[in-house]
Amino acid sequence: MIEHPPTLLALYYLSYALGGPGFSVPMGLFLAGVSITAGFMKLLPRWVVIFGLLLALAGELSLLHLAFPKLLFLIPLVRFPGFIWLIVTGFMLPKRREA
Amino acid sequence: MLRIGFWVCVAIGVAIVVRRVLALRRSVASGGPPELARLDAWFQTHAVLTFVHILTALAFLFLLPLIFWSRTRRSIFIQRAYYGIGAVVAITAYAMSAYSVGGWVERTAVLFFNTLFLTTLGVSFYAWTTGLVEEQRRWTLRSAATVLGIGNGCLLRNFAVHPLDPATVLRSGFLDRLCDQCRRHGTLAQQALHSDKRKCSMNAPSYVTHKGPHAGLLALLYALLFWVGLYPVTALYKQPYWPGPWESASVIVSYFQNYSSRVLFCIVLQLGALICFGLFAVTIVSRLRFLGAKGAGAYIALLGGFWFSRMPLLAPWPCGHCFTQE
Repeated sequence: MIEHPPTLLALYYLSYALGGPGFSVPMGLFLAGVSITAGFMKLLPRWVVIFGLLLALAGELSLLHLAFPKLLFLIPLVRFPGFIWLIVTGFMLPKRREA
Repeated sequence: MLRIGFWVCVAIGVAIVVRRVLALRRSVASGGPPELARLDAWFQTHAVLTFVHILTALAFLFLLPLIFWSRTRRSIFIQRAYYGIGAVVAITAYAMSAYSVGGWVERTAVLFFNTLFLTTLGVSFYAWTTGLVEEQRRWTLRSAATVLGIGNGCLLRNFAVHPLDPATVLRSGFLDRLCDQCRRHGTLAQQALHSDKRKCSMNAPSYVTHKGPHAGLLALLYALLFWVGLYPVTALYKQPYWPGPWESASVIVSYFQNYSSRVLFCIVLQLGALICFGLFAVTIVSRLRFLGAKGAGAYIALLGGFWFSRMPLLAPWPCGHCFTQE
């Protein structure tokens, strides 16, 4: 593989595409699914729900980065604050319900 | 006088931990004022995080005398443990502040004093690594004073949630909790015990707990693995770092040919991180269903979680595998 730079480059660009919009679009779906459900059921504080929805919106819009390269900033905007949202949600989502 | 104050503060901290452990081990509706029962129930819903926080805090309290004792304060093991456990205590305190019992008032206090503690601990650590002994001692003392202040603040929280007189608070908050309350009552009035038990069992809401891994810890592990994996391929470690797509083809190819071990390390940890994320996504969706979610939202989240945890692996993994030949 090292002897075939074209293949190596193709794999590199493929990994870049999948790690960019290929990451942020499904991440946006995940954030939206959890935030909307938890928001309707009042399982999470409102600020966590709104924060999740904003990140989800940025994640879905990041797909446009393929057509408009200036929107590249949306990908790290989803990825890095996304860590905070995931950790907060993991700890705050109730684990018990009344029988 | 300072020494006495120090030991009193340490003793109060240990007592708070013991009290919380006892409260976590018993059922929520076990008597006492309703406000205190609500406080205990609040902690029981986040038992894992609370246990991690208070047990590491207990270990930290035991380290405090050792970090100042002339025979042990130069021990590298003690100093490493002090900084390591101190950091864990601070991080779990931040995580716990997400569900502060006292709302934003308590959360603000925790964020402020915890940040103060983390800052003093960080400066002390920096002084230690750079060999500034006096500075290190001064900042270690400050960090210890801050953490003891926070510990005693937790004591006040137990008083603040219910407007009873101090004697009642002391009795219901500590003495009754430390002893087996039902047995105490039983020796005094057997009949009252039976009627109270009936009343308790009728009033106490029964809960069912979702079985599964702790989602918060999975998210933390995911973040940790992701960041550690990213480290060797960024400028934080060494130049050159992972090339961007705007670089020329020769730069990209030579990077992967010359720094294959860094790339492989990164990919292995990213794979671990994605496994954690996949488990996190499944756990969260399962919990939403357990809590009564009937709509499509949970399944949309599941779709996103699966898609996310599989897609990025398609390309980097074969790349890294092929690059293992130096």
